[in-house]
Amino acid sequence: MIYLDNAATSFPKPESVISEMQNCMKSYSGNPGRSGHSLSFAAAAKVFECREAASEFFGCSGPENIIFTLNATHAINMLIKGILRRGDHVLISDLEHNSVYRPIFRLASEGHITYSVFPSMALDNRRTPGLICSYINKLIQPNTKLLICTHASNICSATLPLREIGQLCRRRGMFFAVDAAQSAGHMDINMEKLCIDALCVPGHKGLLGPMGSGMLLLKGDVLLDTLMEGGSGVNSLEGFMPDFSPERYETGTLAVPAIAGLCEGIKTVQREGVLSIRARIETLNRYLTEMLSTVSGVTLYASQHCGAVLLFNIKDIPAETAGRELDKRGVCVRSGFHCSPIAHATLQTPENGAVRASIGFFNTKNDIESLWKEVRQLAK
Amino acid sequence: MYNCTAVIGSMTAALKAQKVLGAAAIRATVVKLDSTVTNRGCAYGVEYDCNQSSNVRSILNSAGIKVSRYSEGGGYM
Repeated sequence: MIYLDNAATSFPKPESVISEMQNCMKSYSGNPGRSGHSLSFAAAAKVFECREAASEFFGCSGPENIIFTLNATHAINMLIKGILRRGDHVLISDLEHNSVYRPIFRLASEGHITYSVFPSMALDNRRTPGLICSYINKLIQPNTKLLICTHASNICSATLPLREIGQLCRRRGMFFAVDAAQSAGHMDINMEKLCIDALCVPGHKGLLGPMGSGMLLLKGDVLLDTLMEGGSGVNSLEGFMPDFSPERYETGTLAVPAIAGLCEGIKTVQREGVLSIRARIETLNRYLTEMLSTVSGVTLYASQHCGAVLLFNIKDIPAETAGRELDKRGVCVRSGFHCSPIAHATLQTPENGAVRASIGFFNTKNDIESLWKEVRQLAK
Repeated sequence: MYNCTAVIGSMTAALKAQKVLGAAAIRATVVKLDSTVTNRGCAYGVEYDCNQSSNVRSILNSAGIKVSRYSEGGGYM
């Protein structure tokens, strides 16, 4: 089986991730930050180790500003609903996943906020960071509080220029939040250097952790409204949630085995090096793009961008049919709209969407050649 | 050695305190405190050798770790 659906979740996982999760379940699965016994303390120590690893990895201001979530969508919702107030205006890009678009759309539909969409220029050859920022500048209103955007699209390899957007947000006094669902573990991200106020990441994609792990990383001086309330293991006699991170936001029992696995995933990426991983993925992407370009009847979308994702269609075969056929031939890809309708509109894909191949940590040249051979068969 | 306690609050902050003290070669143990210590319910702190009291105060202050109070005696006060 060839797995090329790493943008949905990475597979397989490193052996160290699996063994640490097993070790956690067997040896230290107490409830962290709740009790005073050794098993609870051991679990808390592992959770803290993961906070430290994540904080260092992403240039965050400290382990206390790492908030564990179920996934990136959870983190994005916590951020959006925790920071916005009635009357605020928000900027998003035209490459957003529904994880950003839907919470913004709902708040706007209910009349709480307004939003504008800035162009990523994903298909425009004149595309530069400066030009994208000039579009953003034109859309800023006096009540624009938040700019939230994806770092790397989940349907093509286009990225947004975080450094320039971050600097712009800083200059204009806007909060800058980034959905790093597709870039965390694949691209170098330093919150401080990129002026990022909040970073939303999944644990189970480029960071190689298990599903059920994710993080919201906050700049130090941010206090969001809470999405959920409940037990936090601290100040339990009070009705309000604590006013400090991360306990303010992490209500209920943490997914300690998932966090233990995520910690090992981050260490694996650190050992390998993000730049090295990125270079390998780009090499495979270029190879795949070249190979599929030779197949008559294959349409590639936004293939001028090089990264982990390549979107295509095979003749007039509906994308879901193509995906099923590839699966029958032992190749796992994802078809349809990938929860990104506005990004698909931006890339002008047809009414059935498209097929997405997404490259991950463990893929090889052989995997790319296997996909190419099967696509070639389907295109005959 | 007799123990002193820095009353901190959250487990995360207590672990951070333990870490920064450890970096300064001061051994500290994270403890769950009796609820009456804070009057706010569950809380954690760090225990350390009272001979290190002034160093501990200085280090935790420099690290930006909020300590609600320092006291003599172990965590289960």
